[in-house]
Amino acid sequence: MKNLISLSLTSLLLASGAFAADNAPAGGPNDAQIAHIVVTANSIDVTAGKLAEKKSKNPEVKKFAKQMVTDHTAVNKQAAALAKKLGVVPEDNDTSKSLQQGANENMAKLNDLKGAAFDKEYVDHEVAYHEAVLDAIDKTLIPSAQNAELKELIVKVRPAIAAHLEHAKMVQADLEKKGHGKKKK
Amino acid sequence: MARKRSKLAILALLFASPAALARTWDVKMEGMQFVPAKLEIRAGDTVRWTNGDIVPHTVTTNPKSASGLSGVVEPGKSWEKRLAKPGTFRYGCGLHPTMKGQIEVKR
Repeated sequence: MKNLISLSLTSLLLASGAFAADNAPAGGPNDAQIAHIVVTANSIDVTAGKLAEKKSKNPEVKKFAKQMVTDHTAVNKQAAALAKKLGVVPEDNDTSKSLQQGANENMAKLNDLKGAAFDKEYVDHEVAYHEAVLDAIDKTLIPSAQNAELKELIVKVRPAIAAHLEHAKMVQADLEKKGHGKKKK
Repeated sequence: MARKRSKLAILALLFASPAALARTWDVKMEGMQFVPAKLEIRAGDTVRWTNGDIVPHTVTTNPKSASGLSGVVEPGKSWEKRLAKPGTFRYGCGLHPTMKGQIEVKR
């Protein structure tokens, strides 16, 4: 699952119409596209978190999901404020579209699950998703961002994504300990 | 006259109450960490936590309590606590379990 999400993010960032962008280094998205990717990635996790808060009966999963909603909403608020300040209109792009498509598929799967199966699928996906986002931040978003403030925002967000990943792994381990299933490789 | 003032200043310091000598220490909540993560203070000192991140944090001594002692500390805001009892004050962020801190409160 991680490889699939990572492939979507990293290779699409390189293969998308970002090649035609102004001011971007070859192979990377421009600032308007980066802004759109950031907002899309955050919104996806807010939506999944809201579903998990509603559906999960596990207190640790609910607590994690609630935090995803709070934190990713906060980041999106900052991203939107910065985009407005800079006069940047987030530009839709193939990467955002692919992320959203993946999210829609994930949500459809989650909607069909309940109980321990839901918890496992949600948390496993959160681990893979945050790993992939961290990878994209390090390899593409930070290196490609041209505007200093946009770059600074992404740099500032990175530790939150890393902390979310660690938190997700803690919940994943807890679920495994309680016999909710084997860890996906 | 100057010598007399100096003597008075020294006497004032010697007999000053601990409360008058107490200081405030700053801990930043930054990069999803408490900075510094370990601090040594004197009993009666105050610690002020300031959120420099873009997500909310809390200060809690109970991992099961999200809001903990401080309630939610929004980005840019601060919360402070006077630590009067000697010992080790272990705490964390109730919202982000990877964030941990420790304060040694000396007599």
